Amino acid sequence: MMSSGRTPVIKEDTEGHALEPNTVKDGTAELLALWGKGAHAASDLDFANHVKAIAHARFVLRKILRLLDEQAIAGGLQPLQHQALLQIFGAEGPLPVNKVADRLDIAPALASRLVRQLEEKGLVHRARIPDDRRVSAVHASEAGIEVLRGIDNAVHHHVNHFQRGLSDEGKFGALATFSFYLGLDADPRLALLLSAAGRQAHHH
Amino acid sequence: MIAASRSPPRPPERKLGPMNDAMRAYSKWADIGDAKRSREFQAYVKNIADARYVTRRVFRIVDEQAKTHGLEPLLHQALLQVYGAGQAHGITVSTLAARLDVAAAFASRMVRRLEEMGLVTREASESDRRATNVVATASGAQKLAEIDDEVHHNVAFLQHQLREDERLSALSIFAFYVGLDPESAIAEAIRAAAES
Repeated sequence: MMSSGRTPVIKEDTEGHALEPNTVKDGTAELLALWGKGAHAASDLDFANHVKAIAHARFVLRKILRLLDEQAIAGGLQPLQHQALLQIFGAEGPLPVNKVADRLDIAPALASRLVRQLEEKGLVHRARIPDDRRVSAVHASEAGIEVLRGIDNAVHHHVNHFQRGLSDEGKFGALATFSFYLGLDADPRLALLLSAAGRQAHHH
Repeated sequence: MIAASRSPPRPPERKLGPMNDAMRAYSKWADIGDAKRSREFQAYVKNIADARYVTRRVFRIVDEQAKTHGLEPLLHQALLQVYGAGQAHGITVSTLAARLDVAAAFASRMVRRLEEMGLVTREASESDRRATNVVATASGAQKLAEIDDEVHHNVAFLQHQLREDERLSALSIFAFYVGLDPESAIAEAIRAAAES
């Protein structure tokens, strides 16, 4: 579990401060080319700019997740109830309550309480699983789906405003990090997409 | 609020060459489309559910690795924003607070804590002597590199839990988060480049 022994490339000045390896102003195209190589390669080649992408991703997610939670509350659901409803409707077929806990990374007792609350609101229904009569599974009701649609529409409306304040570097740095979360960062299609975007950014 | 009547322009299919490949990559990854969103709402929500599931698991891995290396999760997040802002100018406390979505007083306390740990320093701004910039030290960068290494090892197993098509679909949700949905300016710019 300990470090692989990989030595990150960190340049230092005489006072022991790590130096920015790439301080050119119009460096978006270069950054996108770096991020297109995949998170592991980027981390080895230029750690400072690899972290830049992570910092963008975390900033975007923090803002978007807050926005989602606010819209859930405006739609009459506590944020975690909304997340549970999303996992239940997003699942292929009725979702056992223990799977709700797993998908939300929470304790089974809390998942069970959330499901009960959603049931009382008429947003999910409980059913016995035919294979195992002891396990109950939940699926979203029509009303539950409508609530999700309403919140989703509000989210789409509000997200636009936030995105207008993001730089291209911020957008694509975040996307490169999300690709890493999903194991898609070394996919050559990401490099193609980022290099095309970099050429665009360069021309504008 | 939803523009169901608005059909997003489809990517052109006719041209060959690298730009067309980029266009295909874009459309595969980023093109949710309002029509698809309302027509196939369940499939769309499945993508959201997958994206959120992965996010939750990755965040937990990152937080656990930060703690293992002696950093509280939020201090680790602060250090990431400081180092990610670049070493040339660093970051001001107020910008750091905005990037972390926390109160300025709280960000200031975190900077003090990181300073005590020797992971950041404060420097007077060259342009404005009254302002101070926070800059990561070499040992701060080293700490981030160690945590990053562990995260890379631990995230790999997560990625295998989703099929390839599920990962691509989840990525379309993230693409929407950053503003790469079909109606965005950058999407139009990529389309225009593909057509030229």
